[in-house]
Amino acid sequence: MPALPDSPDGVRMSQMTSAKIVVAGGFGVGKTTAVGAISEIPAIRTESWMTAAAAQIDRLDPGIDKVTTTVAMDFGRVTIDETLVLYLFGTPGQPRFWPMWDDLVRGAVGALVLVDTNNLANSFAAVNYFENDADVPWVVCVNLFHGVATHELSEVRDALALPAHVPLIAADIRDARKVARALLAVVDHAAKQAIG
Amino acid sequence: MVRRPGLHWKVRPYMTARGRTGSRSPLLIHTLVSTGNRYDPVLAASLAPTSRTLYEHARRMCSVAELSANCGLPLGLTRLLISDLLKIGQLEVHDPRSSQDLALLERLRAGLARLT
Repeated sequence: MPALPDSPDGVRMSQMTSAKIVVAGGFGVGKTTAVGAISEIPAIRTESWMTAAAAQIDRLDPGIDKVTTTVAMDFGRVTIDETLVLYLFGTPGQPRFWPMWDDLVRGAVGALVLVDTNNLANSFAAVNYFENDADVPWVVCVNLFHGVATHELSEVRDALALPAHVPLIAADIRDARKVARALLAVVDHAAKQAIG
Repeated sequence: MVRRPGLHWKVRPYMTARGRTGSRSPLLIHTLVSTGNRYDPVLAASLAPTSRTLYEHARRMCSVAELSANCGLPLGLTRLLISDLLKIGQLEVHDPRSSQDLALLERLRAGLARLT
């Protein structure tokens, strides 16, 4: 895996800093796809938070990939400028891993919550988490799975019971430029909240 | 000289971790870590294998999450081993800017806009 550029310039090295945006949503909603689309490194899947209890549950069927992805977080990296790196972290999807979301979300600029209009209920928990249990700006993004909107955004807003202050957008998250635009919406929203 | 075994960086990781659950201000998963420009091969050779792996990987600046993934270590243990190396002054931490920092948000805006 390529590391950050090795800089002989000690001053620049010492100025290096990082930021984080969390990509959340239900299982199979496209978090890995979104992170992988824009990341300059292959999205890394790691089982960092795997607990002994979870290990026993998840290793019952070692051959099934789906079981592994639920305990993993995916992350990617985007170089923003010479001294700033943006990390993207996909949340583990299953309810038993939610306590780890606090660790994931701490210090984040904001969160992008992906939803699939064919399975909205799948993302209820993530919406609920950011509405009630987290303190970061968040934006909801309808994943246009085939580049086609199947529902009006106003219908989606109603169905998710999204508060008016939470931005709702739509994007085909297979496209890096559209992921960048969605992340931009998160940063814009964070800036508005920071200004108050 | 008497050393407190739990704090010695040469003991096995499970010994190192025993009885401790936290470190200094918590290392965020996206906090950047590096050996800076004072990588020390003699120190590296003296470290326990897990710490040594981590120390070697930190020669190139990367995040706590990347170190965890690259070294194949759980996040909690990665944080403990990093804080041990911090205590003996062998790693540098580049604390992330506050996520409320408008200058940071503006840089993110500019960087992401270039990708759209």
